Amino acid sequence: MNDLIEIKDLSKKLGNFELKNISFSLAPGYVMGFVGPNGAGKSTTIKLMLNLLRKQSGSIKLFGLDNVKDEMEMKQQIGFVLDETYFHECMTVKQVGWFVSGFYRNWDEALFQQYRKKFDLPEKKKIKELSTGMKAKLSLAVALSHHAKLLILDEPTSGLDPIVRDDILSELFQVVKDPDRGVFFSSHITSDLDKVADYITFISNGEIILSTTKDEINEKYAVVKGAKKHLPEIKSHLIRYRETQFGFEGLTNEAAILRKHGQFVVEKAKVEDIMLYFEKGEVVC
Amino acid sequence: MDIIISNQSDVPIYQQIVVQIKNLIMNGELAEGDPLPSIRTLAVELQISSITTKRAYEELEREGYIVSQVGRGSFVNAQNKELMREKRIKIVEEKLVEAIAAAKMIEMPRDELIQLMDILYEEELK
Amino acid sequence: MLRLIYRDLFIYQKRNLVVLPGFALLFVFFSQEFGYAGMGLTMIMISVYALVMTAYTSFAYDETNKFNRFLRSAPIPSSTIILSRYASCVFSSIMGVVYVVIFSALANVAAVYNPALRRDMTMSMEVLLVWITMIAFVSAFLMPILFKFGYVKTKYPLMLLVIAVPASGPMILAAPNMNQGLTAALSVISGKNGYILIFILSLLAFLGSAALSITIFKRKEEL
Repeated sequence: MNDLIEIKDLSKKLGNFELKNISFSLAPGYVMGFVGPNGAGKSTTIKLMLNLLRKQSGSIKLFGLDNVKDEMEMKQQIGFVLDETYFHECMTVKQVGWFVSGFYRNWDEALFQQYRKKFDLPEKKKIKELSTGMKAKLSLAVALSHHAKLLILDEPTSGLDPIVRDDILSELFQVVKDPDRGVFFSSHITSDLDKVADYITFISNGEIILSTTKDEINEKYAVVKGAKKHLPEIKSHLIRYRETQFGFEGLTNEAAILRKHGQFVVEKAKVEDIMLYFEKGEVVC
Repeated sequence: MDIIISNQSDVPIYQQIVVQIKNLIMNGELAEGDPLPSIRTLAVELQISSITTKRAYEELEREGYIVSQVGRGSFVNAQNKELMREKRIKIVEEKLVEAIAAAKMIEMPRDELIQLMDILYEEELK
Repeated sequence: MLRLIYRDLFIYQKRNLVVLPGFALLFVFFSQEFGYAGMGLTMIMISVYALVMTAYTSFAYDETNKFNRFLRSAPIPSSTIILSRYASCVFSSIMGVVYVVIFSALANVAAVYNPALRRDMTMSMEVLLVWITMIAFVSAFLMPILFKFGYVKTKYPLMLLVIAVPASGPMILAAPNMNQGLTAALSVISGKNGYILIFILSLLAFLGSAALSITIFKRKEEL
């Protein structure tokens, strides 16, 4: 079975910003979280995948299909959420469903109605009458209603309250109950990724820093804290570190070794920790 | 069937699942031939990655506790009662070795240790 | 395609359901001034108005809503996107003409009581041809510009143009040599062959413009 996403050496220059040789892939049946600080290149990568931007080098294959040569076929199988709404504010929920249904072969009206009711979106309500959370749910309902194999979402939960976020994440989770489908979403809300992602890919400044399973992050990576005097001896085990007035703290991917040491506080790394240390920590020379 | 995961614990999540399912099998809550929840269902319900649950099941299968069939799911393996008891005895041995080492560290005499064990055993029965 | 056209015509221009007939009525009312060529000129005026209005409103809303992001991400071929926009504008013009015809007919019915209301409704091959040509050339000119530069940048320059052209029309026509040139040109194109030629040219302009727009659209990157 083809990978849902296969990106190799993707590069793109946009003004001052440059995406440098991005590579990662996603197999069917899993959720990948794409995480990085603002301006790291998350949206750019997604736009390149959907052909909103043209790549300058490298290859992008979704479902084994080239994203330029087989563009239409590929897009039939993608459900996307890029923004709360792209639709005119006077359109009703019903009209939005009707409108999108004309473009997708596999549109399932019954399924759309199911989601509509589940998310509590009245048919006759106009977009301008919907709250931010409801707009996001509408976009998601539309993306889910044509049996898309891959969901691509660009920051689907930003600006939403924890309850709506949980609703949306649960839905994403349900998608991968089907081992042939997958979800790719970018976010800087790291707690969402801790909840739902199987794989996590970190991007910063246009480069992929890390792409691995959440399990590995939880098990092998850890935040280490200890007395300043111990820093020199374990520096080689750290990826990034930070000295404070009262000691040091660092990020390691050799959690087991440092735990055995017994001298340090070693805590499971969360997605946020990795992001913070890579951005702000000092590099070990 | 209850499975409780701690996100805060240092024990890897897949390990926690393995231990808990083992216990369920050993104390009879899961009987031979009982079906286990699918890898994905378990993942969704516990809100963890299916990669984790898959790993747990793989480990359980490796150790002979469950059997997985493609397309049909995973089932509790016929348990060799003798083997199970032996494994459990080993755990008791290990714990006793630890207790003895701790006792020796403070030079506690053997009789005192046995007396302590009797008292505690009685308390546990209550 | 139909859905896109529907969107342009009805969702984006809810108020146009009132404004377009309103303008049609206005033009019919004033067409008395144009004398013989009343119907033709009225048709052209309403069509150009409808076309430009539809084009501008559609592009404007698309840009405000960033609707192009949806269009480009969905499995919709660029040709469908472009052609539907052209189609909406043409339909809009046709709708305008329909209104004009209806109102003229009504006026003529009422003219039984008040002769002053009589409106010219002569429709000839020439009128139809000029109408087709105008629509084709105006779209052919307007659309690629809108696709390339978008609504925001072209708003003011084109508004100026829209005012300048009809204003300067009479001046140009009044120029001494103009009449001779025009008569000469008209004599070339009159007659069946001339009509066919004009029709083909209009079609070519229209299609050529569509092809150009598609290229422009494909080249653009959606930031």
